[in-house]
Amino acid sequence: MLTTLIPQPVAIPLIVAAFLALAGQWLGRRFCDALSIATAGATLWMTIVILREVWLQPYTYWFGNWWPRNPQVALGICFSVDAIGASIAMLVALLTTAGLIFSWKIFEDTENHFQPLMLIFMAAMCGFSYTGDLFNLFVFFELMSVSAFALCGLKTLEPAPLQGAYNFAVVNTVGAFMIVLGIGLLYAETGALNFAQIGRSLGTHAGRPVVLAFLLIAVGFMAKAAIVPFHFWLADAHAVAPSPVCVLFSGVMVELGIYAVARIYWTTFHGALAGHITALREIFLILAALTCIVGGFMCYAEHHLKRLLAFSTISHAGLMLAGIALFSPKALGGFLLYALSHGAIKGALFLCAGIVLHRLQKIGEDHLHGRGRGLWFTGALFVLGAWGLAGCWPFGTLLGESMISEDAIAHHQSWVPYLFIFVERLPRPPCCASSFGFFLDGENLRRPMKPLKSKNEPKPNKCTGELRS
Amino acid sequence: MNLRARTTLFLVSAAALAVIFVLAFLDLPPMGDYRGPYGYVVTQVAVYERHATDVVNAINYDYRAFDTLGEEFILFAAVLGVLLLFRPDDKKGHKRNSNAQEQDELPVSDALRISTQAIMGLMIVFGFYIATHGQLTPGSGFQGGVILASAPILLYLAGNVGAFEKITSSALVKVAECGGAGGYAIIGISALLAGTHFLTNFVPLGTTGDLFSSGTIAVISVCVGVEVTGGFVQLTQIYLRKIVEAELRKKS
Amino acid sequence: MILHVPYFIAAWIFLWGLYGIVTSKNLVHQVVCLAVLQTSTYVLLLTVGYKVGGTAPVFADIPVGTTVVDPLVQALMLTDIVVEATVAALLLAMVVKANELANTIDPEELRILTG
Repeated sequence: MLTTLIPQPVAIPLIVAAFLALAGQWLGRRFCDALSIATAGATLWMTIVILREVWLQPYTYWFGNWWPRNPQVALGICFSVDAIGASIAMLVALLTTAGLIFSWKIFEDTENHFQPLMLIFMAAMCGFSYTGDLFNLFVFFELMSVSAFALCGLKTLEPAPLQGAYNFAVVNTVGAFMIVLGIGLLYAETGALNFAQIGRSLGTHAGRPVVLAFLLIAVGFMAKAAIVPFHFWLADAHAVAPSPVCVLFSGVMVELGIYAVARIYWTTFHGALAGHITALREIFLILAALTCIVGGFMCYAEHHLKRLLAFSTISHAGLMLAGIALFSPKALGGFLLYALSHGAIKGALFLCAGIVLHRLQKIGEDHLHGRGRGLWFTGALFVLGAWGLAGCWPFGTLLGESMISEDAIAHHQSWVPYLFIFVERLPRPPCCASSFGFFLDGENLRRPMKPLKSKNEPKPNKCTGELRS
Repeated sequence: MNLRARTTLFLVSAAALAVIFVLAFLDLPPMGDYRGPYGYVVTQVAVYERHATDVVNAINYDYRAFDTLGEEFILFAAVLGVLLLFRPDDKKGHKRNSNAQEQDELPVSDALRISTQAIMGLMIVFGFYIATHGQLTPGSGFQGGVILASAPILLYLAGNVGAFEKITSSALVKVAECGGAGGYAIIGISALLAGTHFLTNFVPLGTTGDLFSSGTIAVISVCVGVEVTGGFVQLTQIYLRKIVEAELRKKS
Repeated sequence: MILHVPYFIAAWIFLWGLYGIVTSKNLVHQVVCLAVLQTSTYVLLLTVGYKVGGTAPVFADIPVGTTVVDPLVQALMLTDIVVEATVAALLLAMVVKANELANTIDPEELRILTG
């Protein structure tokens, strides 16, 4: 059954996207919405079934039936599906379904281009999680990126969204082509593009080109994962993209960058770079720490709700990088748990932010203060989400964090648990205060307001008067 | 960070990166000494296994057809993105229609008009030739599609803006683009329905060297050609329309 | 050493493209610099695949078994070129739209305008 099912999470959304792009304008908005939600739901079901099948035993699927006739050389492309990749694909499908349900009846003026792009985005991310071929990884990375750039520029009546989308595009494209340079170097060394074949050809030998290839590929993927110093595009992109798209960006696209580094290391470079592992561990942990600190401080200083969540994503991305930076199986398991729970929680938080924006038409904390009284359910969800991000019971973030921390201590990096405390617990007062401030008018919990620039003068709204009286 | 600080920081990192590049590249096999197994294996087996004489296209549309599917959808997503960015605001809709009528003919010299219309026919034939002979000679759907998509631009250069608009905004262009993209994925799915793996070459292979050979390689190549033509025609149409709008905005 | 020069050329092009992107004062120029950066990958790939005495891997008029250059890198390069063209198209669309809205294509001015 797997042989028919495995290519479907990529193929079916692509076909439906092509169909919707063509016939969407004649079929009516409701039909397009319903069809895209149905496709995303079907993809979710397929990824769950695949996950169940590969839970204990990874499965390799050769496209075009090009299994390696010559045992030394793989000519075709394979999908090498294991539990980690399948779980992340399931998260992708889940978040896309949620985002598409959220966008029911909004974005009226997009001429039915929004749903095809979301479906292509989902197909690309599923393919990215499943693939076992290095250039195929790059192609899906680019497909994911191009649909993300296109989705980011959805709201084009202001120059700010365009600038955010443009910076996003330039940084990610430079990262992508660094990956191609790395692929070229690996191909020069081994003559192969399949992860397993490259890993076997490299053996335990790690010359300078191999180290440079790893450096280039890791930097390219870390630019996608918004690791310092490539983090500056994330906040702008999030602030301007619509909420369902932010759900996918923060919930899973950033995690995929880190997952790719881990995947490539373990399948391709593990033998070759085993001698340099202590140095690599130190470098990646330092980068993780920097990312956490930068993200945490910027999160603390933000007023714009979506930018606040975006900076929180950056600091959590640092934590996930710390998870894989330990280069050990237990920490990798912790990373997976953390990524899955963070993705789901962050997605929920962005959808709450989207509800706030949709109902109250504003997203800056200063404008929103005290106006959320009518949205008590959203408020409760928001607080629950913040609770989950703080790594508290019963969320998966706690389990992931404890696995990574235990492994860090075992590898003599006992400062890593403090990093988790810094990222998760310290920003919680401002975030919770923001939520209380929005939803309950908790004046005493707020920090003093920054003076606003003249163009952002808060306009008095009759809602405020009604709520406060 | 101001420009000078950014430039200095960049130059320092670029110098370090350059040193790393040089040290690493010196350890690579020198140019001309290709060692890897992939090239040797595939050049020996591709012609026999797939009856295709152009090995590059055999790789692109058969061995690594899945990559090409992703690449085709990258083009598709980019065209959707450009259409999304340039979608008309409702207010400007009326202005756009009236502008189009004013611009049916641009004043160009007779020599330009005649020569471009002559070349256009040649380009279309050449584009079809390249797109359909992918399995035999260099060039395939992508290259042929781009040549075909450039043909209407000659109409625009010849001054015949009305005809250009009529050809490039027809629904057939959109059908071509979406049909080509979806068609490629459907060919893959039909392999699944035929009982083999996705994107297997399950169609009869024909004789090497014939036009109708190499199974799905030729079919996929034509599909891609159709999609690329549709995509690039839409792109040129929307960009050129922007130029016309900008010119008219400047005049008014 | 002399036969490694094409690799150095690839690195040179990459770094120049990156320099152009970092120091650019014009968004269209920045997009073109991005395209230049992308060409460095083509140079690298083709250098990797070249075989001395090899001809094009098209067996329409030569017998199978003749020495040819590696066809895989050419296939990868085709994909690369399509990716470059499409990303450039999308980026230029953003630049045109930004010019329409903000009347500038200077990245610094755009940054000041958008805050």
